[in-house]
Amino acid sequence: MKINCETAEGLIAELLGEEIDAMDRARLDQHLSDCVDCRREVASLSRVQSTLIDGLEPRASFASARSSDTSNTHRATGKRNGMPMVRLAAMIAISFGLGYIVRGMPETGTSNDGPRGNGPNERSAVVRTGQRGDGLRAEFAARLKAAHRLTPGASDFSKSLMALLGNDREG
Amino acid sequence: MTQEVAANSTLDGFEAQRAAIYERALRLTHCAATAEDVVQDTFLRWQAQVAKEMPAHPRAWLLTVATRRVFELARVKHLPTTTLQAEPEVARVTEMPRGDSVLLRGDILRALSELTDMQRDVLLAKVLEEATFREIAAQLDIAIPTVKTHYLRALRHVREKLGPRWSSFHED
Repeated sequence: MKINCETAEGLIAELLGEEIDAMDRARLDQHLSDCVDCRREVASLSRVQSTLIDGLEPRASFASARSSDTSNTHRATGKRNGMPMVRLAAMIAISFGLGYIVRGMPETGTSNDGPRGNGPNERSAVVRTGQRGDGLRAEFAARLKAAHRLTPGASDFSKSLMALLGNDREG
Repeated sequence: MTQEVAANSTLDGFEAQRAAIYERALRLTHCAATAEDVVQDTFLRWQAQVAKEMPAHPRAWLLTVATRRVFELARVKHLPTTTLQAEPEVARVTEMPRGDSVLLRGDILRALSELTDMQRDVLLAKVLEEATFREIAAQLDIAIPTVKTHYLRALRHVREKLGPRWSSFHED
């Protein structure tokens, strides 16, 4: 049975309050699929609610607990569906940064071992840089695989990245 | 002897909710000293109320009185712009940069202070206490649909006040 915007109002409150039952949820979803105004209203009020919760939280631990509590609302409004991808991207960035720091530091020192320009030192530096790149790439791929295991939802993204790195057939 | 028992009962009833009252005041003010003042003021009002009649929902009554006291103080002492910066230990651990979190909190308090008492009570019971609409209706002695209406109106008012500075609340 279709509902109008006036009836939807009460259900929107229940949705935001995470008190809506399955039947009402189905009715509201049907209405929202037809009514762009109500859809915008749900998304907008959901953001206001999240802002209030975050803004009045006294501690970070409370905030993270709250965000998991309210995940149903965010799921309902589709606002945080991208979180696994963001988490994966953050893990990749951290892995890459750590790899670069750990492996890059000694190599940085060797760049001053000899004069720049044509000569044996430049050649060896190029070789070393290439080896370092391969090592980094392998390490990055290994960490990516670990991240992929931890974040199954991001499989396509991580597989395409591994393909780009030429390590997609490993493991 | 009877008076002593009554006094103990009054004190026990309050002490059971003291932490919740303090937390509510601290969340709103971010100031330990002000939160403690609110707890003391709330206790005095609790004593006076219990002498007349025990509230049907002591916790809800105490939190409502504490919240209203916070906004009374906010009006008198310009709380959002002055005391919000007095508790760095609490402010530092919020997720966003400290300056922004203080600004946001101040804006939220201003927006909340412009709500009717009923809208604010409903909104805070829902957002901070995670009470159900049914529980809020029972505590405030109003109908459930009225609670929902107050809740949505309160959210819309806050959106109107916070929207220009904080977020694209109106976008998809």
